[in-house]
Amino acid sequence: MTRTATPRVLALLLALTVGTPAAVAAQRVDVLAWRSDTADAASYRQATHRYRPQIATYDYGAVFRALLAELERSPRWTRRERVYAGLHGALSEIAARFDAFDATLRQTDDVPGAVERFLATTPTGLFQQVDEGWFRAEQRVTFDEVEALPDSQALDFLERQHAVERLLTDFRAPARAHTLRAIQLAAERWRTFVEGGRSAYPWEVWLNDRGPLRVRYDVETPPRRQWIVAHPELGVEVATTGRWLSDATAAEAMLVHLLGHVWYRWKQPAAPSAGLGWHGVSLAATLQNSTGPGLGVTAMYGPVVTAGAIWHDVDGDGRWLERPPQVVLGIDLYRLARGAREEMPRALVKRAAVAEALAGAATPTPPERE
Amino acid sequence: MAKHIVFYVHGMGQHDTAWAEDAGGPVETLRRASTAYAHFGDRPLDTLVEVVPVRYDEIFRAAVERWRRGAEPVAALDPDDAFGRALGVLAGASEQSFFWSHAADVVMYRCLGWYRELVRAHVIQQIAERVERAWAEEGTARCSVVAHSLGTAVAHDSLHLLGTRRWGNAASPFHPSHWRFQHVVMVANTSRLLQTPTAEAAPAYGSIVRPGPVEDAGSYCATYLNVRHSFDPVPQPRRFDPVGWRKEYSTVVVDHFRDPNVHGFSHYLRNPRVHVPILRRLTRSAAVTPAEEVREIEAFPQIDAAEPLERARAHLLDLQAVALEAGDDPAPPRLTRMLAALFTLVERYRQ
Repeated sequence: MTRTATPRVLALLLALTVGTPAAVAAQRVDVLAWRSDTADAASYRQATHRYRPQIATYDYGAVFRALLAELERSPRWTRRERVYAGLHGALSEIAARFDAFDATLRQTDDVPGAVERFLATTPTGLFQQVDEGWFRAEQRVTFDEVEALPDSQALDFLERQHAVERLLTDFRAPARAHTLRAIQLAAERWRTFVEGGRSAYPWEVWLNDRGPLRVRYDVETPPRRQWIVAHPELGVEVATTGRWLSDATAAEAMLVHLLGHVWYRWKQPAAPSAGLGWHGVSLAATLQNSTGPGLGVTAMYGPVVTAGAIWHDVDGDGRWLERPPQVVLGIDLYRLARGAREEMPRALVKRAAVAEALAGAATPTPPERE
Repeated sequence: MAKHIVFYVHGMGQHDTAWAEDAGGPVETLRRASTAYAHFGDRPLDTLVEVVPVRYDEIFRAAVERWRRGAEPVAALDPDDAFGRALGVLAGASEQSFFWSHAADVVMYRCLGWYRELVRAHVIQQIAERVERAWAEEGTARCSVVAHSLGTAVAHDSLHLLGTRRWGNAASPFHPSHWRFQHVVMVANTSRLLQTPTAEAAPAYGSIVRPGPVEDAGSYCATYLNVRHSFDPVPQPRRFDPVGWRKEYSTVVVDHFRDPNVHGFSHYLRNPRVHVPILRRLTRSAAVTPAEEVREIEAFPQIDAAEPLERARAHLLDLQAVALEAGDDPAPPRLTRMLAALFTLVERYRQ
């Protein structure tokens, strides 16, 4: 009885002491739940503290070589572990790549320039955790492999991997700032162009991308010019029967820019939201009931000024230029739809109000017929 | 480790700022689906994943509104009807109409380059700013993309540009040799249908939006999951079906019926054949055990028992006919008609 019971008791005691296999597995490091212990000598925090002078002078090559030497001296590893081999191989590769950066840096004081040139030719993504593991090919280390290690080794691996990845991210800081700013500027330019540029109906946007009318642009740079094709807008034709403005009559008309062209300039290239300026010309026509169609030219200067001269063949004899032209003002109501009315340039609001008043107050008077 | 950042990119139609987390939306659907699996019992999905809804539909809404406001007063001044129906169509643009609220998004993205570039720049900015914040705070960024319908084309183009362009004419930290996405999930993939090969953009089969190992300059993610519904007409023309890609690419084809709009984002995600591989990617491959997967798939018949079987089957066949009618490479007018037909069938079923 005693003989048979003793091994059972011992087995029970052993299980309580070391845990069942399931319990042991449950205590393993969970890679996704892991957080860096900033007091650990291998941690990013401690490494940046230890190598502050080298980091301050952008001598990242020296930092990675030192981290490699520390790994090789670490008592936590027997050097025979597959995980150690993967980490060691990847860190050796990074340290070797940065030899080239050191050589570049010795020849220049332009650190951001040296970083940019290095990043253009040398990969630095080796330590990024991807798809439940790190590194690639024969160096590949998986979550499962790390979690199967004793805690001390698993934690050491995670601290060292994290430190190197974060140092590489720090190394890219000048490029990160430059790139993010370029992306933000690109989005700002496009928003300003589409919302604040010369209005374009869908057929115009399509035609500006086709055949001889194609204008160049890319995701960072909106077009610097624009074709205007069959663009209708609200217009006011002003005719004078005498020498004074008081003799003027105004009539609401549909002003159609048959074909025109606009050139853009950024008011502040470094701050696209400051707006776009533009100037342009168009061949235009007016359509209204009282005087019949008119033909002429308009000039555009920014969102405020669209004005031109329109001739009418009043008597239908085909001689369009025998009478003086009428002045036409264009009102780009499309732009008023940008959103809040208070966002509009004050001058544009004023111009719309003046034109509305003119059109409302004046009774359209057909020119005298001969 | 910090949470897995997941960019959700919506499809056509109206989406507000919190669209992804709306009731019945993709996030809630995935969250609810995850509760069926033991792993998420003490680790709810929200504790493992950060949702970042990416939005661009306001660009299309604003454009349509500008056209409408511009055309409305002018249309009344067209005494000779010189513009035919064009001004009337623009002046009558309304979010109540299916064309303007949905189909116009697709047509504008496909045909109007300026709006396409604005959408891309806007989406790239949203992604880049979140990634940069993760880099600054954590030193690392674990990010994935889950996109739907038109959003798959937008996401494809934006990711390719983000990873290949020399932004500000300098080497970019977003280049795949320095950083990459974890997983790309494309649901009802239109990236090939709406591709616009230009000097800067690449066709869907030729871009970097494909799986590959770290530092590989020709790939931008670890895995790529392509999801298609057999009866959803949208992903059928110019179907995304690459050959010879790495094993980290996979396609899931489903055919279930839980709602007449089989194109819906959440309708796709309700199927365990879809949400299991997504949950595994966003958390751990072991998060859903094989036994749990089998159990859930077996408990998910093609057509829900609550649906009238014959009517549902007839609806699926009608949808299939819409896809066949559209052909393999529809021009924008035919594509618009296909979308309108899909909408009409869904509305008819619901009545």
